[in-house]
Amino acid sequence: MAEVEKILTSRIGTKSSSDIDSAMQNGAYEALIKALTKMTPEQVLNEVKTANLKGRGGAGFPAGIKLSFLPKDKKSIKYLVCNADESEPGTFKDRLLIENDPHRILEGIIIAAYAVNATSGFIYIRGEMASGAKILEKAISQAYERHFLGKNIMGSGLDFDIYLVRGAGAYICGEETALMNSIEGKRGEPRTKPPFPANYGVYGKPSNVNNVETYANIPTIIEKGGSWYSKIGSQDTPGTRLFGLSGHIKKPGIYELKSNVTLRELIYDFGGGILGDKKLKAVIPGGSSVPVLKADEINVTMDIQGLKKVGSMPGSGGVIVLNETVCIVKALLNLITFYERESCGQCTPCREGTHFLRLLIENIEKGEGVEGDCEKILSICKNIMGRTICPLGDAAVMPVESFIKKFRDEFEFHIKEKRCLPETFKMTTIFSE
Amino acid sequence: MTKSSNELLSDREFLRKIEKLKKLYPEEKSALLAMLHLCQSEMGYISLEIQEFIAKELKLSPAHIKGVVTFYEMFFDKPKGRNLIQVCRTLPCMLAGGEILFEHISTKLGIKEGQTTSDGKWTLMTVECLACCDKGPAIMINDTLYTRVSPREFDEIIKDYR
Ligand SMILES: Cc1cc2nc3c(=O)[nH]c(=O)nc-3n(C[C@H](O)[C@H](O)[C@H](O)COP(=O)(O)O)c2cc1C
Ligand code: SF4
Ligand code: FES
Repeated sequence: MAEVEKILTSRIGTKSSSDIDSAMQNGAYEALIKALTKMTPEQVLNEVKTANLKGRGGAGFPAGIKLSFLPKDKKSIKYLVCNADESEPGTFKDRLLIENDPHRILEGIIIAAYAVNATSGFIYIRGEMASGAKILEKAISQAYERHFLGKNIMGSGLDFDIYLVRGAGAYICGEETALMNSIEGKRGEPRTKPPFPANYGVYGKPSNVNNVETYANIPTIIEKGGSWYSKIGSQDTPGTRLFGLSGHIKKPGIYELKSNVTLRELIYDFGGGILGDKKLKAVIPGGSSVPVLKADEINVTMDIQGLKKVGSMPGSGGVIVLNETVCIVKALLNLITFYERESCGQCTPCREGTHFLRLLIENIEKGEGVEGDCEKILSICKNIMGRTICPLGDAAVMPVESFIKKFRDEFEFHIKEKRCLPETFKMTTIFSE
Repeated sequence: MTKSSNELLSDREFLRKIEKLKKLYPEEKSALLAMLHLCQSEMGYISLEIQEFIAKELKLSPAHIKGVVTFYEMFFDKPKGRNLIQVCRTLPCMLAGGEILFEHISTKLGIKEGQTTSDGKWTLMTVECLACCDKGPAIMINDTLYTRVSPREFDEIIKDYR
């Protein structure tokens, strides 16, 4: 079993961990003080680059490099944005950090602000996380009281404010340019890129968007050094990740592990195996938008290289487990309905494509599918992929294509026999235990 | 909870909160979502009168406000029931038993998705992943999240609502 290293969750579980006093007793803001008193902004940025910290929001872009795209001068207005929209099905890790260790997130953002001379920051939290927003609000005001935010922070000359914005129920606002529009009080419709946020972001000013978990890694990188961090676990995704296990798993929850853990270890050693003691059928390894894996494809590490070998990716770290009682057509119908409902409607391939995909898959599920439907579905996928303003179109295609390719027999069975596979008549749920 | 547009517009406390929100962000427009959340929680929906009021406050067009209100799932431009039940319908919750729970709620309250009970107490909707997939089935009633909800627990939970 892979060795367990606690970075992100080290304070979680300690008494009132979201309170600043208790967090500070356990090391909060020490890295910030170190950065402000002993390091130059360039040194801080270099440590993040050396750490090879990869974005935890889904795309896995190197955080240090993205930060360095911002203009370096001291004068211009620059915004740091923390993406706390967490809405990718199967993903629930940011909630853990927000509710239990908000000061780790704030500290990471403030250190990043020092590194790039940012003037203000926004945390964009999804509207449904009402209690998370209250916890963050309180943490922000505590950080102001202790002078970790505001003018001339700890006498360092850094001025930095953080604003909290609550979303209002729209998955698409997790996409970084939609998120910036939403911060500006607009409909959350993605913008065409270029221009990229580093040049034209919030209010048209240079901006940098990172995920909650990405920022939360920065204090440890500063405390222990980028090269220390870069050697933990996997070479392509160093550090630890918060993997979320859900679905047909005996011990669902968040597991902080190095990403050289294998999917098999994650499911069987940490997750305790398959719910209902049934056979594993499929796993979605990184949030609903990544290609699905079959039961014999789980002997891979949970990093970029490992999952690439089986045609998938680590995404947001949300692992959804499906046992043999799941009708694969029904599971895909559930997912495509999500993308249809959450498409913002700007691009025809995404708006119409997700709609027709849903109708076709729904027909197959109802026993009204006809021969050739699978080809039709795959051809619609081709016409969405890469032809839209934002990656939601691709995100809808990836599950559909992979489900059809890997479980083609089951789709054809539905089309021919007009019914589900016998073993999927009664799906395991927590109520059947 | 369910004030009328006129009541709200003459409520000093409400107007004071709106003024405060206007000054909260680097640019006034960023307060729009916060203002709409406030109106939504005071009225249960966001009436045309209120949309026009907010438009004036932020120097935006009423059409812009309507565009925003209708874009976001949490904002309603028509009245709904006193309490909103949102049942998570996405895959991890479905695997946990979300459909069984939804059927139970629908039968118990005698309404389908999108409908409101005749006494105006409940509106039932489905919602996409609530970011607590390890504890499904999940539901929200107004601003409160409930996890690992069994049909029996649901019957207990709703006793606390009027
Ligand atoms: C449709 C869509 C939804 C997204 N939702 C989220 C989200 O909820 N949280 C998040 O951090 N990133 C989300 N992303 C990715 C962001 O656009 C962006 O890449 C990310 O916040 C960058 O942070 P990172 O580099 O730290 O991962 C989403 C992207 C797309 C296309
Ligand atoms: S791809 Fe879909 S969600 Fe993205 S901008 Fe186009 S229509 Fe909107
Ligand atoms: S699927 Fe219901 S909370 Fe994620």
